[in-house]
Amino acid sequence: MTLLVVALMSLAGGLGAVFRFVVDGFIGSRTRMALPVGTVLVNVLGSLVLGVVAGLVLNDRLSAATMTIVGTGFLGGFTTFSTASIETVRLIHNGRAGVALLNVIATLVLSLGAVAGGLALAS
Amino acid sequence: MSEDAPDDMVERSSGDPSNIDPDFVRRPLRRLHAHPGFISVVLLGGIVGTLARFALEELMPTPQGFPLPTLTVNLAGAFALGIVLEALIRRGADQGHLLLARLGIGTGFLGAFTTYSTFALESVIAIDDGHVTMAATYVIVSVAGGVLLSFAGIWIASVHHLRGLRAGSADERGST
Repeated sequence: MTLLVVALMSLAGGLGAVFRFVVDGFIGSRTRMALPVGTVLVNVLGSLVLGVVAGLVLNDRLSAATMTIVGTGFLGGFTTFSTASIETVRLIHNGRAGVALLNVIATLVLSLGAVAGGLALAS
Repeated sequence: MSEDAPDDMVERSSGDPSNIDPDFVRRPLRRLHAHPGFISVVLLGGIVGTLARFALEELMPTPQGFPLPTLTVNLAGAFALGIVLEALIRRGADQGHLLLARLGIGTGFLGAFTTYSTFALESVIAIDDGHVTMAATYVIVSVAGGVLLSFAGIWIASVHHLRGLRAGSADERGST
């Protein structure tokens, strides 16, 4: 774990956050749904890619450094747990408890499935 | 070209993501000069948030393989985001410095500090390794804990704000 890897990881994380911001903004300006599809999308997509990256690392086709930069860095910044949580709470506050539950379940199931799918793709 | 011309990108959406989505910026897309500033604060916050998450991951143990570091950042981040967003909302409209603070701290720092992908990967790996009970515990504590702590953060910030208001008005009454 070199300083360079840590620096690249941090930068990648920042870029991941920017990508999330842009994707979320793009989707948000086009959707009418109460379900926060922007956040669901980045979390599921990020989980899919992490599954692939992790699978490749487990098969020694990618280095640990790459996992740190792309996985911990970019995808860690791209996906977000806090925003998903807040959106669930906001939906409940707005009287949309059903959509709140859907947000929780859909994000969870799709993200777990995406990771598993990514791992399978990489093997 | 009129600066006040309505932007159909904003008008078209009858739903209001800004009501729900803390990362959303309601901005006419034509006013591109506003964007580099937003992206800069998100980038900066994201860099620091990633570094903070990494540091915590390096320092925290994984007792019997339990992903305590990720659980910690996610729960702490959910709580902190509740506080930050509520505090900002109560300070005024989502524009100017308050908007930049929301994007830098909320979208940037806390968005990068927390991670859904790592949480998902760790859960799936735990299941694959046969640690189903641990995986279930991890998932339930993360998701339920996150929602509860977000609620708690919002509540604490609102109580703190209202106490400040009441203290202020009590001072005014006492001075007459």
